Amino acid sequence: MAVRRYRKSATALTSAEVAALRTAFGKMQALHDDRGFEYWAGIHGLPLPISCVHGTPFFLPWHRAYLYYFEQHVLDAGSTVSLPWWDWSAQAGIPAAYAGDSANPLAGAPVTGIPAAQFTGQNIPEVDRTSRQPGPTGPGHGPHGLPSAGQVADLMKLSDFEDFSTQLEDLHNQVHMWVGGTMSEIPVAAFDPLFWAHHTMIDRIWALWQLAHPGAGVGTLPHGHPLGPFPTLTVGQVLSVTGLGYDYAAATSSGSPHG
Amino acid sequence: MADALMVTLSCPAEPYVRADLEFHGVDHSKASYEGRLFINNATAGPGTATDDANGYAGSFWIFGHGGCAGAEGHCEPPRERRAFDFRPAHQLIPVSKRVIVTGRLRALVAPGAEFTVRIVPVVRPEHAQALPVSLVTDLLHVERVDLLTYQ
Repeated sequence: MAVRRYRKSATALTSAEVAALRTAFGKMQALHDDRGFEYWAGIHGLPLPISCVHGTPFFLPWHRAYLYYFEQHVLDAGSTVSLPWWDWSAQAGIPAAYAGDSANPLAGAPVTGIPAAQFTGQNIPEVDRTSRQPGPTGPGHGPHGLPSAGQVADLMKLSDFEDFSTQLEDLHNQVHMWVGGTMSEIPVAAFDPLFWAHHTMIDRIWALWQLAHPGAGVGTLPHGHPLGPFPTLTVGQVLSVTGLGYDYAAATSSGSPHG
Repeated sequence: MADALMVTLSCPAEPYVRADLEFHGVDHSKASYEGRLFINNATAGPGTATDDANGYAGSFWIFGHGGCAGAEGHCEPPRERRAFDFRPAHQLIPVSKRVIVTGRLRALVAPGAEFTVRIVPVVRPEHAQALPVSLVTDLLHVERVDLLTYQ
């Protein structure tokens, strides 16, 4: 039987799990090689080349592969839990595990490994640490707030992959801008540790949509298309989360059969 | 701050079960912004309330490229792709956005009537203050807007 990891909600982690995740992120933030946080954050944006994929149907497969590779390094760094998801649709704001000061490696991170020459005068300003300027929490803020559970439910009714992907990406963009600061702009967004919980939520919504629409596939995307710079994964290889060894089951219950 | 754009469209006379506004050739090279849509409101701006009275129809969000980190020409997409160029597409090829406006269109526009859509780019003020002026001006470029309705 395949070993399967269950990604959990950030608000459902035990204190021991939060501590383990913080320790792993802290270790990665202290590494300056290709196991480190700056290397993996830098794949999304700066330093050049910017490798992330937005505005195309590759958005979801590419980020699933990205999360998968990053998660392997989080586990290598000793985390006992998989990447948690931030359910921003609850509109409660940033999860407690990701809040606090610089002593919490989930609350922020150094922005390092980017040559100064790539912060040009026409570019985003040079920063040495992530920042946030979150918008309002709670319902009723419309486009100023976070996407609602109702908006996510509406997404789940869409039956065409390209339609679903386009609408989900827009909610994703809204959340990036709601967090503000570093998360607002592609070149440095992935340096904010909250980026990973946000994208795990996006990946979770896609996985739930796949369960609700079996056979919907990925539209016209070729399954054999490589997802660079993740050399062992293609579009076809990321279509099943269980095939990648994880799942988003909200609750699990196990027992030993007896006579 | 960035300028708004406006387009005139026609609502079909026939009933529809879904209506989408599609925006093609949308530039995303600068700051992140919200494209706020107002129907039949020629003066809507960033401070206009997003309510029915003002014709608010929805928003799209652009996750911006944040300027150019390379040398001159680095962020200019090629006009056409060479044959046998198997590299990934250039990062700054303009994107398309789609906003589902079924309920808002029904509420705000009579069947068969012409209407306007005003697109107001909104950068959160606290974010705009932290960016070079060049990243938050002349922000909104849209080549074409389509209204698609489905029966």
